[in-house]
Formats: sequence, structure tokens, C-alpha cells
Amino acid sequence: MSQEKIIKVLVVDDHQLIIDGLKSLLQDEPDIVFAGGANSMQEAIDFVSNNPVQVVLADISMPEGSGIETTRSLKEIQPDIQILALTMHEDINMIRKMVEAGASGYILKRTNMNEVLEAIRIVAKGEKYLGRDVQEILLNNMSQSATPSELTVGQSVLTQREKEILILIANEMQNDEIAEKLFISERTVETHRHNMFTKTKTKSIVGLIKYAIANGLIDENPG
Amino acid sequence: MQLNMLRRSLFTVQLIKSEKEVTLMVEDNGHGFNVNDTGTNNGGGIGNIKSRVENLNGSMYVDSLIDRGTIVSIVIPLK
Repeated sequence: MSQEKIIKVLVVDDHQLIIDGLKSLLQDEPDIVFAGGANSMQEAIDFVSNNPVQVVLADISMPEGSGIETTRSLKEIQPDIQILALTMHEDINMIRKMVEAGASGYILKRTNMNEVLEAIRIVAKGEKYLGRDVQEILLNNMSQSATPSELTVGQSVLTQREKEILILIANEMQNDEIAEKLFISERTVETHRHNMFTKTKTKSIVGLIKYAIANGLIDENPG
Repeated sequence: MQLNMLRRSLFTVQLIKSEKEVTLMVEDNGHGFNVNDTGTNNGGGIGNIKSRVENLNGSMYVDSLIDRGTIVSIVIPLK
């Protein structure tokens, strides 16, 4: 393999274990080289300023400068660099913000290594890559927000966030699990749940699920 | 507050009345902030609202995260 086709990858994550894991997984690839790891935005900026890197695998939640800020900064320093978000965030707003900041791809940490490698190779060519799970999130979101305006007065409808929570409740998730998944607090989940009871005029989870089925939010016979 | 919200791509304001209480829920997907930092430089805005809510025997909860956005819930009992 010729030298110019080798893809040099920087992994940015505040968890060293992720960096070490990816380093070890990338070492068997003939066309991809682990160039280095950075635990923060500043470390990533320093690395990219001093080393040639084609692709950056970037986490989003980091204490000193998020992946979104990191993406913006790295694209400023080196516009040709390709940023691939590797994150646990499944929130559509996060996906949009990363893409707006300049990311070329978005994959979830729960994906498998084959997809990570595929994504690295695709973004290295200057193309875009969205993980299969991410595409599903986007499609679900598009189908849920088919109405042109959510502005409603005096009408009991659920907001996008409430629909999301209702689907998770239907999947037997508890408040703490929903909170963790959506990056909101348990107390906010509880308030949403309470509001949904009021708006749908239901009093129990069973009532809410019936509402969700009747309104096509969830499938009556999944699978 | 309105001007700040116009810069966000999405925000929701809900006023929900049930038999026992009224709930105001305001959500945006903006920059968010560290909730623990509001004591020092908030200009009194959040504290001011909170004390008004408490005067009505209500409760207020601010849930925010950098880059995720902010959700403010205010619940005021009707009796």
C-alpha cells in the first residue's frame, strides 16, 4: 500500500480506555494508522497543529470543550481534516449540531468495529457517513415531525420530546434509564410523564401506551 | 429571553393545567449551561423567578447541559 493512501487517525475521547481500545483495534488495518490520542479539545488542537492527521474520531461529551467545539476548532486549523463523531448521544439535535460544526460522519459507540472502519475509510475520501443506527434515528424523527408546525393552542398534542419518552416507556424503560438515554434529569422525565398523563387524559402507563398505539406512535404488534 | 430564544433552532413552551396544578415547561436545544454556575453570574433572573414561584407555593426546576439545551419546569398548585 502506498504511503499516501494510509489514513492517519486521531482519537479524541476523555476516556483513555476508548483511546487504548481503538488503538489496539486499528493496529491490524493495513490502510489505517493510529496517529495518536487526545483526552481533551486542547490536546486535540495541539496534536493536529503538529502532526498530519486525515481523520479524527471525536467524542462529544468531554469536560473541557465538547466534541462540537472541538470539531469547529479543528476544521478552522485544518479545513481538510475529516471529523467522525463517535459518541453515545442518540439525540437528533446532537447529530445536527455536529454536522453543522463540520463533522463528516456520525456513528454511535454501540456500533461494531467493522462500521467504524468503514466510516473512517469513507470520510477519509471526503465523503459523508452516517451510522446505520443514526440513519434510523433521523428517519424516525422525520416521520414523527411530519406536521409543518408544532404550534398548537388548546389542543392536547405531545411534543417531540414527549413522543420520544413515550416510545421509551413503551419499551419498558424506567425513568432513570430514559434520563440517561436522553441526557436529561430523572426529575424532568417525571415532569414530562406527568404532563403526558394530563394532556392525553390518561392516568396510567397502560393508558399512555393505548394512546400511543391509537395515535400510531408505537406499533401494536412489534416485530 | 425572547431574543435569546429566537437564536435557537427549536424551543417549546407549554402551559398545562390539570385539576391540581399548572405546569409551565420551557425547552430549548441551545447552548445550555452548567446549572451549578448560576449562583455567581446569573444577574438574578433565575433566582428572581424561583422566589416568585415559591411565593405561590410552587416549585421550579432547571435542567441544563452544555450543548444539549435547557429545560425549565415550573409547577404551581391550584389550591
